[in-house]
Amino acid sequence: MQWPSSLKSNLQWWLLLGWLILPVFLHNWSYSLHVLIMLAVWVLLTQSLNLVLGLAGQLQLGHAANFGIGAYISGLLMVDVGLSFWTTLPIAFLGAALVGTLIGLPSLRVGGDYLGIVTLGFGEITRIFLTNWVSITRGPMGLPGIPAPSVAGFNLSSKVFFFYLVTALALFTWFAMQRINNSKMGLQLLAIRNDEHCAQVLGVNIGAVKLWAFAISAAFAGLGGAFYASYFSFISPDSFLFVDSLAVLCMLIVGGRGNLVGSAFGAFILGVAPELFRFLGDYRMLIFGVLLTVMVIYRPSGIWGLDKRKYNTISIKA
Amino acid sequence: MIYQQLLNGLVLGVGYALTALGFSMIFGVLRVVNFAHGNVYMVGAFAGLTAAQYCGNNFYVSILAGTVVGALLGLVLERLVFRPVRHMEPFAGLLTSTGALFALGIIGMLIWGASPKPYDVNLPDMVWEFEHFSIYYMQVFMMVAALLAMLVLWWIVSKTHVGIAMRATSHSTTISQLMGIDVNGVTKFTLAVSSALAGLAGVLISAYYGIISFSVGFNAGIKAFTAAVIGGIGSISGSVVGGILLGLAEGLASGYISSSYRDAIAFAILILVLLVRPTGLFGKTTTQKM
Amino acid sequence: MHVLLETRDLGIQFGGLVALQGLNLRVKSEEILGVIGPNGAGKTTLLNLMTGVYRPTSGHILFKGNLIDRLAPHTIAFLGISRTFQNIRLIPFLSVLENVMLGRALRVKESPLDSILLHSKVKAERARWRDFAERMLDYVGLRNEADKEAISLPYGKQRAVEIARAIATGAELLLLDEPGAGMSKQEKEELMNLIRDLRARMKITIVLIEHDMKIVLNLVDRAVVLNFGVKIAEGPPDTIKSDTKVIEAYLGAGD
Repeated sequence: MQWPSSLKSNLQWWLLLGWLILPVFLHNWSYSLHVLIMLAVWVLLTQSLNLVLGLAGQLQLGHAANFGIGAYISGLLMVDVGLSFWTTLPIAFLGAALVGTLIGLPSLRVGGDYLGIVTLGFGEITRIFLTNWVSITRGPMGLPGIPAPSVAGFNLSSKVFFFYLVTALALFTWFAMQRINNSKMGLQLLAIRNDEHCAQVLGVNIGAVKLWAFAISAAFAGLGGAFYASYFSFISPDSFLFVDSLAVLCMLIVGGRGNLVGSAFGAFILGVAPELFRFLGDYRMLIFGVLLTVMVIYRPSGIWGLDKRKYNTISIKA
Repeated sequence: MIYQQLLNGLVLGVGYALTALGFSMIFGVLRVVNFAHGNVYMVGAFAGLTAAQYCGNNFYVSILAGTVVGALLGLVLERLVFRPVRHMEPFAGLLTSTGALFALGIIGMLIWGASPKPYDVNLPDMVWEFEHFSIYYMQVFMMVAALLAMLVLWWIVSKTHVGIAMRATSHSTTISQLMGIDVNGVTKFTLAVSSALAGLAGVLISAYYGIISFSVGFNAGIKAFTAAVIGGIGSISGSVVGGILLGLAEGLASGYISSSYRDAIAFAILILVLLVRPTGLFGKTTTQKM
Repeated sequence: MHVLLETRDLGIQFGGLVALQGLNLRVKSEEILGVIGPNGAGKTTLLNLMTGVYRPTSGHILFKGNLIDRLAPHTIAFLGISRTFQNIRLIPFLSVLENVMLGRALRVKESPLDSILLHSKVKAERARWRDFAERMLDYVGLRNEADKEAISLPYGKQRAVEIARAIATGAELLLLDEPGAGMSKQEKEELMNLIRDLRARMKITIVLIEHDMKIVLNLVDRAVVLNFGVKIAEGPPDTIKSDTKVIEAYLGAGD
C-alpha cells in the first residue's frame, strides 16, 4: 500500500504522541504498563544493535552481554557503593562501551559467521563470569534490592515514572542512532558493510570505525541495562542469555528498517505478543525458533535489507 | 591421579571429537555453520534411549536408533533449513539453523519431558585396573567408535565418488553444478552422514555419563564448534585432534582451577584460536584475491 | 618535474607464486603513466601494493620521498594516493553526491560525539564537506545528477562518479584500474578528455592500467610494460608500440 509521504513521515510523530498519552487510557495499569515498558526496552536494544548489525553489517550475537554489564554496573554501584541511579547511569554507559569495544576487537580480524560465533562466545563468557564471580556479583542467586531512581529525595518507584523514564531513554537512543546514521561515521560504516577493500582505499580506518560502532552500540544497551536493574530491582545472570541476543536480532529483522516504528513493530511481534499470550510458556522458544528460520528464508531483501537508504533523501544534512 | 585425569579428559575429548566430526564436515562441504547440530545430538540420544526401552534396554539398539534417527533428522534439516537459504549470505544458514536449534530443543522437551533422565542401557561393565588409573569398557568403546567413524569418513571422502563430489562442492557449488555434480544430492548426503554421527555421539556420550536432558544440545553444539575450529574446520583429523585437545584442556582445568569456569575456558580457547589462527591447526590458509 | 612515487626493487610473492619482482619505477609528478601488459602480468597487484592493501615481500615504495610500504591503506589514502576499481564499486542506495562525499570523509573533522550533538561547528564543517563534494562533481560535469541513485546512471557516468569520489580524497596520485573497460567509443573519448582535464586543472598525477591501446597511445605520456611480474619496457607510447619484447609478450613468442 502506497501511503502519501507526508502521512508516512508524520505517522511516526503521531504514534509517538499516542504513546506518550497512552497511560491515561490504560485499564489494568500495572500489567499494561509493564508490557509497554518492556516494549520500550526492546526498542532501545534493537536501535542500539542496528548500529552494529544493520549499518556496519557485523554479526553481533552477544548484545545481551552489553545490556547485562550495564545492569550489573549500575546495580552493584547502587547497592554496594550507595551511588544514586543518575550517577551510575553515565558509569554504566561508559563501562558498557568499554566492554563493547573488547567484544568488537575480533571484528578487526574475522568476519561473517566466525565473528558471530566469537561475539556469541564473548556473550557467554560474560554470563559465566557474572554467574561465577560470586564475591562481587552474588552469582546465580542474583542481586536483589536495587533501589529505584530518586529525585530530590523522593524514591520514584511508580510504574508510570518508569514508563516515562524508559521512553526517554529509548528516544534518546533512537535519536543518537539517527544522528550517527546520517553522519560521517554512518557513511563510513555503510562503506565498510558494502566493500571493506574499497572503504580502505578511500581512507576509512576500518578498525577504528568498527570499534566505535561496537562501543556506541554497547553503551546505549548499557543504559537500558541500568534502567532494567532499577525497574526490576533484581537482576541475575539468567536475565541476559544468548536467546535474548537472538530475540533482539529477530526483532530487528522482523521490524525491517531500523527506524523507530519498525523496531517497535518487531518488538511487539516478538516480545510483547508472546508476553500477552504468556500461557504459551516454553512454547515461545519453539515459535521463536520457527519464526527465526521462516523470517530469514522469506525476507525478500535479505537480512541486510535493514538499512537500505532511499536514494533521494540526502541524509547527511549540513 | 593425573593419569586418571588425563584419561578422563581424553575420553571427554573423544566425545567432543565425535560430535565435531559431523559439524566440521557440514562446514567443510557446505560452507555453513549448522547450529542445530547440538540438538540433533540430543534427539539422537533420546531416540536411542526410547528404542532401547522397547528392546530390553539393549545398548546396541540404542546406537542403531540414534544413528538412523540422526540421519533422518539431518535430511529434514537439509530440506527445511539449509536448502532454502543456499543462495543467501553465508550466515543466513547460521541463523536458520539457530532457529532450528531452538525449535528442536522445545520439541525434544515436549516429547521427552523437561527433567533429566537416566540413560538406562545395559553396558558391559568391565573395568581394567592399572597401577595409576582404571579404564572402563565404555571408555574403550568410545575411543574405538570414534576411530572407526574417523576412518569411515576418511574412506568416504577420499575413496568414493561421493567423496570426490563433496570435495568439489566445497570448492565451489557453481562450478560443481556446471560439471554435472548433483549438489543437492551431495548436500543431502553430507547432512545425513554428519547428523548420523551426531546421533551416534549423543547415544555414546549419554550412555557414558548415564544421563540425558533436553538442554544438553546447545552446549554440545558449542563444544563441537570449538573442537572443529581448534583442529581446523573442514578437516577430519583436525576435528579429532581439536576435540581431544579441548577435552584434555577442560579436564585439566576443572581439576586444577575450577570446574564452574569450565565452559568459559572452552569459549576462551575458541576465541583465542579464532583470533590467532582462524584456520585452526590443520586447516588450510587461503589467501584472498582482491 | 620531480618524482612523486618511486618503487625500488619492488617484489611480492604469494606462497610460491611470484606476482611481481625487481620492479623499479619512477612516477613523475603530473604525468599520466600507463601500466600495460598481458593478463596476469601483475598490474592490479602493483596497484594494490601502492595503495597499501598488499605488503611487498621485497623492495620498497616511496611516496613523496617517504617509505609507505609498511603503512595501512587508510593512512596511505590520507597521504594522497587513491584509486578506482575495474568493476566500478559505487555504494548502492546512496546518491551520486553521497558517494562522492564518502571520498571526502577522511578529511572531515567530525567525531561520533559531534555527530550526536550536531552543534554549529559541525554543521559548518558539513556544509564545507558538501560544497567540496559538489565541486568535485562539477569537475567531472555531473553536478546535475547529484541526487540520483549512483548506480542508476549509465556506465560511463558511473565511472566519472567513481573518479570524482577518488579525487575527493584529496589525492595527488590517482590510480585508475582499467577505467575504459566496458565503455563505448564515445564514452572512452569523454573519459580521456576527463582525465586530461583533471591533470591540467587539479595538477593530479595519474597512473592507469589499460588494455585498450587506443587509450594508451593517445592519453599517456609514458608507459611501463609488465609481463609475468617483470618490467620489460618503458618509455613514450611510440617507443613502446614498436618494442619487440612488448609485441612478443602480447602475441606470445615463437608460435
